[in-house]
Amino acid sequence: MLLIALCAPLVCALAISVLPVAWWRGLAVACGAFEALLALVAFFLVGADTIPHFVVHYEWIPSLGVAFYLGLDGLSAALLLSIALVFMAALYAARERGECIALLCAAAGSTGAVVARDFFLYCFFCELAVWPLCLLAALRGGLHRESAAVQFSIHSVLGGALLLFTAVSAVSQQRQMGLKASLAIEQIAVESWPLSFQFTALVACALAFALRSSIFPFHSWAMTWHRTAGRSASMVVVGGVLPLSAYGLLRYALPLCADALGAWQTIALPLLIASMTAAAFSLLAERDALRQLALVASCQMAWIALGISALDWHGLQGAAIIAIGSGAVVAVLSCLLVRSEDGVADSQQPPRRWGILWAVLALAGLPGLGLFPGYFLVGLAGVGQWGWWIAPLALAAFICGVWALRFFAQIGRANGPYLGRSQYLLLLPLVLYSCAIGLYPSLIGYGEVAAVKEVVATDRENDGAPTAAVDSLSSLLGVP
Amino acid sequence: MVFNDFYPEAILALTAVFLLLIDALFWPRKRSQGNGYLAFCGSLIALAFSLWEWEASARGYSVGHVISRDAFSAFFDVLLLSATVGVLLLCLHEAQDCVRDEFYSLVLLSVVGMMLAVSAVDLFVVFLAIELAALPLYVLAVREGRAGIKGEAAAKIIHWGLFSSAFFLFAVGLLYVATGTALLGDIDAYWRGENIDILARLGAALLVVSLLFKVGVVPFHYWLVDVREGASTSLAAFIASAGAATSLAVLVRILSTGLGPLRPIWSPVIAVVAGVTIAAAVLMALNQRSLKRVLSYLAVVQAGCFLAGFSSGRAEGLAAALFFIAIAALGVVALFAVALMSERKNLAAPLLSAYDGLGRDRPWLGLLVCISLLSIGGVPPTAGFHARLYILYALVDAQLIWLAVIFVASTPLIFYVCGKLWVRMYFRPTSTISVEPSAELMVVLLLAATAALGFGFAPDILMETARSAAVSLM
Repeated sequence: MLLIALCAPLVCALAISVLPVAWWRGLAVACGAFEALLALVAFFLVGADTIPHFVVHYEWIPSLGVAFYLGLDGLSAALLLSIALVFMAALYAARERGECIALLCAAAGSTGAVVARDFFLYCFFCELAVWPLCLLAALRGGLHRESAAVQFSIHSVLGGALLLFTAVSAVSQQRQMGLKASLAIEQIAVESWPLSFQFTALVACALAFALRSSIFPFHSWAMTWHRTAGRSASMVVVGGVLPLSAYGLLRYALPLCADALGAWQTIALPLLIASMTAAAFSLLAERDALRQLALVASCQMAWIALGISALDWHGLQGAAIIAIGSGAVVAVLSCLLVRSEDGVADSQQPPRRWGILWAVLALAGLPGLGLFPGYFLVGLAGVGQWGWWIAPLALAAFICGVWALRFFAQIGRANGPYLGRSQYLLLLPLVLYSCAIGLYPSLIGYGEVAAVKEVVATDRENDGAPTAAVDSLSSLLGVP
Repeated sequence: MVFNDFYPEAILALTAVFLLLIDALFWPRKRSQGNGYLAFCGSLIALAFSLWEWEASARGYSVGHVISRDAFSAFFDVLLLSATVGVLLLCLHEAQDCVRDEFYSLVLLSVVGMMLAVSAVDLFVVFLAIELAALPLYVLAVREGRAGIKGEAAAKIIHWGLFSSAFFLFAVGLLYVATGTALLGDIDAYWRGENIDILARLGAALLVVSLLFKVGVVPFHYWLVDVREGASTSLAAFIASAGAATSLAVLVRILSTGLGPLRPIWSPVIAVVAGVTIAAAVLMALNQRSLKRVLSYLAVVQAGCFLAGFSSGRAEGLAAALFFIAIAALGVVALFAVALMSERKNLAAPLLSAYDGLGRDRPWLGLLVCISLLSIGGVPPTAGFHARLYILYALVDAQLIWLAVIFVASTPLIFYVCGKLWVRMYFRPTSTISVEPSAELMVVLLLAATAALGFGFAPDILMETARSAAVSLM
């Protein structure tokens, strides 16, 4: 099943490029729908299970311990569905044959990165997803598309190189410890990595995450990208690439350097709050709605990093919810915003304002719309970990709330062209999915990350026992 | 020494002589595509023999104590012949517009010299083989260069080539005086003794400098870039692929088997040179406008990456370096093929702007070029990604973290340099200079793309071969 999900976009891309058919767009959207259907079936079959399903395992590069190891558990199944829905909507928004081919190649790369259960394989597929997106910008982008593509690729490649550095360091470490080289998820989680290695890996992974997820101050590429790269490219980056980076941090970097993260916590808090506050102030100062999108995504990524840095089970859950939910919500918002490519207004089409209102409210954290449980759990974990030192975060949250109101008022007054009814309908699954996560966060399985559990357990033994309020609120939300 | 120990070299030499004869007797001063196809067939047969003799070579044997047939030499024989096959196809494309009488014979004779150089274990034989490889290149640089700048290129290759050869010969002389032998094995044993002559130390230092000069690493790179720009494109491709691979192979063999006990001294030097070369060459490549200069600087970066893998001092690192140079050589030939396309009927040196809109106008050609570019840039799913991965692993495993950091930091810059061409192909409006791909160039690009993707999906096939070659030497 996973091989079909991985190969279907590539086969479809090949078919579109070779066959002289006029209905290439229909074929591409059908492939996107097929992927989404597969992801939905997998999502229901896997549920919130922590054990991998549909496992595919072949030795690939034995000398480096790299295996072609695919599998799907609760966390990856939830992300896979989100990404598949984003790609389906993006494929529908595509207008050129080359754009569809690039999107399908990027879809294959993103799917591979989600279903990979080996760190090398994850890096491989992540990089595979980058260059089709540059092509996408080339085919559909605006005035500064060249600059957008170059900035995006440079940041992504440097981030990818840092992740590769971490991966080869881990293999080297395993060899030095006399262990069999393997970077499968299970192996990473059970290994006891030396602290010195963990610090190196942490710095490399954190930098890679910041570069690829456009965390302030590494956000400049995203601002150019969303402004000029075109609708589908923008949607895929916020709905596919950024959640993938967060997923990598959660899935591979965290168990690799869980102990070092404990020491990192004191540094992480001021850095992340500063990053979030600066991004929030920039949001207020920024006039361009598409550039604001980049800053919003930057804030979301900082939330995720904060949740992970809290090293608390609730923080991790919150980070996973925001990673999956914000990808869907910001992708919807990106699709709904007016671009120069949209042409003339058509008053017969349904207004986009309701969609934008939903997205803005969801981003602002209105309960039931997708991101509230994520914010709540991250905040909860933050208070548990850092106490009142986390209070400045409220300032960033407040500024974001002010921005949300102003943003909607600004969009409400604008008279731009509307999206087609069918495009609007294709966004509906994304909206429903993020609402479902918002209402019932236990839909996501959070994976079996032994190292993290161990750290959390140690914390609780010391002084970090969750309060009764935390427990009762958690059970109210259905979080295990 | 018997004939059947040198089948590939003998086939090439006989083909070269045969070409000279028929050129003189039957096809004087004509457009010589027939000669080109004969040379191409001769190289293919030599390649087939090299592959056929692989098993025997991998077991290792010595020919007259001065030539060592081992997995290392077999690896480079196949690499050199593969690059030559590609370059001859480029020559066939170029020959449509110009007279190419002795060109093929000289290229084949140069390859014979290169193949002997990578097998030689006697310093005098190494010197003779290097000169056999270099002299035809001097002639070709004088005859085949681009109008206006070929004089400079020819002067530089002759001047600096002879200068480095003189250094090499002086170093060999000093070593011979000090040790009483020119055999690498005996020199290696000499370093393990008690009384080390100062002349021997001086000779070893000069030997390393002369070899680095031949490789063209920073700070000895300046002449090589000008030579590659001034020479005809097929010749530049030959120098950047087969020539660079030979220099690196000779360096590795001499350092590993002749100066092995001095590894603690030369290994850090090679690591520093590698780091400086990667950093400086990639920075210099950023602002170039001439495609051939960009490719030349990329070749210098690749030499630096090779040395980085080698400086790890382990067989695994050398294997990574061999994997890297094999992929890089094929990629360089493919990219010079791209340079050749816009050169036809256009006397100016090809600029990057010649490729504006290529990917949009000719999607299949654009795709093949794109795959080669991705491989050079180290992007998956091409073999360049694995090459980068193996080198990085070798550096981290050898605790050369500072070099690994330089290597990682250079990655986006290399990607940027390749990306500039890629961006032009897809983002810019169509160039006024027409790009004319011939069947030969398409074959080169197709083969390079197939190799890049094939070894990208199954890297261990090539890596195992590289590993056996590295183990045979270390």
